[in-house]
Amino acid sequence: MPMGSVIEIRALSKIYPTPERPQGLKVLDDITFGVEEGEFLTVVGPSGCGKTTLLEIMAGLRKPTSGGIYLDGRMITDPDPAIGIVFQEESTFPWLTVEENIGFGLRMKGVGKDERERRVQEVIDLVELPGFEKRYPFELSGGMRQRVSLARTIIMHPRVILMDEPFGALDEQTRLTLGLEILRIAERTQSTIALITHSINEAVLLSDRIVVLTRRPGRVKSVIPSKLAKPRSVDTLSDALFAKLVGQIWKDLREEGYRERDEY
Amino acid sequence: MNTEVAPLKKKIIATQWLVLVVAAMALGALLHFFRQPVLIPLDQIVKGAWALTVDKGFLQAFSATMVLILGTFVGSTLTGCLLGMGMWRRKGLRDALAPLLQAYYALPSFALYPVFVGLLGMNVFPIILTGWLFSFPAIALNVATGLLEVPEVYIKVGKSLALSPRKLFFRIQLPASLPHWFTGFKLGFCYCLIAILASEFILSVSGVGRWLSDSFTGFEFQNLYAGIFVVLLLAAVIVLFLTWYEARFYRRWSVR
Repeated sequence: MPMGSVIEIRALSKIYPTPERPQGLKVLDDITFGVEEGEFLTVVGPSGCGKTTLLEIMAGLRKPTSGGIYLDGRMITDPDPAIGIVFQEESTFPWLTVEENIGFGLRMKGVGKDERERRVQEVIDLVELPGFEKRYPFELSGGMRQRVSLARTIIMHPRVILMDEPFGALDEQTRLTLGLEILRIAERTQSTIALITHSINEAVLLSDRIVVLTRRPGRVKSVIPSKLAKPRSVDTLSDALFAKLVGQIWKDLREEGYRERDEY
Repeated sequence: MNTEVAPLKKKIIATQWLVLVVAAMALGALLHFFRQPVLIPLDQIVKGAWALTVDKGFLQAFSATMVLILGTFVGSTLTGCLLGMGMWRRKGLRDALAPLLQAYYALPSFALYPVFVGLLGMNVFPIILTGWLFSFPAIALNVATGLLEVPEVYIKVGKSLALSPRKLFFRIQLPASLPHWFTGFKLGFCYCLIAILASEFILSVSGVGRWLSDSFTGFEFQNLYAGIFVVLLLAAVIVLFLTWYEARFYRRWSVR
């Protein structure tokens, strides 16, 4: 159950300098929301509304133009090991085996071999990859490689895990299976997760709350809490409340779509 | 697994073709299809090459050339790596040098050899300079390309783990770009070998190039082919060694 914000986004705006516009391109405008302890929060929005920029600012990989990100009340200006991130793109290192990929962060932190091996094995069991420890990423499927990326993040015990469309490159069935698996892992590890996705179904199925952003410049259009029963499964997809929430988000996004078309 | 079968199948096909070509050439030679002594039968070439391993004159020339090639290659590797890293870090340097280096292969660099002789004298320095000039651009371009093509997401992973710039380079950017580095080394070595042998062939008074030139002008075709065979064998062995070392280095680097 949510117990207070772990990470807070306060009045955050981002303007990219562009040669065409002297005032720059505003992609995010006055974004404010928090992700609470143990919460699974999803951000959805139209294409180009600045979702990935928002996530990269939350990870300390980009600087905001104004406003800020606070982790446990402390302002984040640079990447912080307490914030883990799982990317959409293929991010496993091809020169390392599965266990070396997963233990990479620990090795960089100087964690001893014995402890590293123990923790790697724990996480390999958690993401259900036993037997693949000595395999290289090219020997795994796309879904398995994303599990390795997730394991590499989880093993660092971050305060919050950020996910940038981690299922974007996967087929529908794998997306659903992996999504539910992440939900199981998150519940077991009591992780706080912020997910960026295009998929409304995915957002509703996985989240405790859904933040809907407007078209560019992205602002918070609505924050929709989900009262769907837990644990969630494939059956949740046929729940009446699931359909209602999907409809509600669609309505918000459709309004943004019409606004965009009206301008052209 | 499909990913492993495909390269194996390619290797088998390549070996089959090689065996077929060698067998056809051997058969042609046995049937006197080729005009002797212009083309020597393969067994004679191999016999000649074996005889060269105890020929004092050849061994002297061979060791002198090898020292030149390896020394020049080390110099090319150092300059190529430094310049490649400079081009990666500094866009201005990259924009200024990349077109020149890319166009460099079209230039007849051997034409400069007489100029170098005029400037540096009739000694090994013009040969070293020609070998170096021919070799280091390939290394520099491959090093720069490799580092520039490291996927952005790898850098983001490293930054999200708050790695220092040094760790980011040695743990992520270097291993991710290593295949390009080794491609540069292999090309650089081959260019170095070609440039030095060719320079020796044209003007030098010593070395394997000169030895081959003397065999050619003296109609000693068996010696000529045997010498070429030894040089080809040596180049193949060194490139194979670099390929093997690349795999080993890649692995060792990853588990350190």
